[in-house]
Amino acid sequence: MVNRTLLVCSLAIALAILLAPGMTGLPQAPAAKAPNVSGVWGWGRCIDGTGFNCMLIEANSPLLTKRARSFVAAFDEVAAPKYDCAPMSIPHLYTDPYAYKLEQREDRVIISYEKDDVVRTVWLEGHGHKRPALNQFFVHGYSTGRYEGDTLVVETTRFTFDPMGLNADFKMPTSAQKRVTERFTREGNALVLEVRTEDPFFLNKPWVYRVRSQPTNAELALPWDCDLEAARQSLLLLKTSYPEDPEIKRIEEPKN
Amino acid sequence: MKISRSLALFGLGLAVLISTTVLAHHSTNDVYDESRTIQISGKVVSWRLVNPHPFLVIEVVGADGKTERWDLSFGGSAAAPLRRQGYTPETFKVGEIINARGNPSLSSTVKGVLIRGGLTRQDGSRVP
Repeated sequence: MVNRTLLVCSLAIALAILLAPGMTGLPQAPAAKAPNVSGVWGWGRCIDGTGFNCMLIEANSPLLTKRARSFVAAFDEVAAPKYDCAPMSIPHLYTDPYAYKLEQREDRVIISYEKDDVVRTVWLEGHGHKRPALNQFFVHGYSTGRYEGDTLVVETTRFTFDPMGLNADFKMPTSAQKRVTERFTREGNALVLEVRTEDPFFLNKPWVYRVRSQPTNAELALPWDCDLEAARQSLLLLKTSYPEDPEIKRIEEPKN
Repeated sequence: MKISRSLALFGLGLAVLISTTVLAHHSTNDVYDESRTIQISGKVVSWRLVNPHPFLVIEVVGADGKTERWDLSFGGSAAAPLRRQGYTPETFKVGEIINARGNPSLSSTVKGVLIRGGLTRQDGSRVP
């Protein structure tokens, strides 16, 4: 005769095992099939027909707050971190004419860029990934992702304050409150990317653009291997906005 | 080698499309005078096909006989786009003569040219 108590306990344990992933955040079996956005993608072109102009903000754009315009006016170009080989962040990474690669894995998506050899990890939701500690901020932020139908949606926050976070060529900054939402959708052979950038300090409203990229047959042209002398070569032609301040002596990195 | 007022034989070199595109959004008008175009010839001193921007330095003898270094810019292009156009680390040899046409730098202390329309060698052949 089956022990009733033992049976009830067994059923309770079985039920707990079935419900545990949802309750504890442990990895679950994949839901619906994820859209395939993997591949190496070329420089995107604006879907609105403006070439790459949709990825640029003019200095007099009504999108920029007064704070942003004042920053641009005050910031000394020669202090831009790019002259020390610091990498660009998003959204600017998509603005320059280089390819990038998406690699979808079960619990994450890796996005690699030719430009500056940047690698971002998108931590897919539902896999128990722990968020970074509150005192951790990153040049490329912290990204989580999910699939919505045929779209990979990536949300990124925790950006460090970046004097060139919006655009490195026009000294446009972003704050630690920057939020970037990227939506990658396959359209036939092409990849459509929508980038939405929000920053309450420097943008009056979200800035959104959409670009379409074609697949490339080549791998990314890497390594980027930034050359410090080359990065600082442009400085020979630039003048500081503050000549009355002491001369800048830059840190020299030892050669490997 | 003197700065030539008369036109050297450049040919119609291919437009450096990538560089031109990058120029437009790298806002070079604070660095170069895009309302003027000059032509210079000089001896290669340094050529580095590196990131973020390859750079080519030539030595030009001015009308006064003095030698000046000129920095030739590909307009913000990185190494990969230039490689795709055929540039290699061996494209320029130190000492060879190169002709360049482009916008002069606005700097009063450093000579530079933003290349427009490509470069040619002493024999008139296009680079790369």
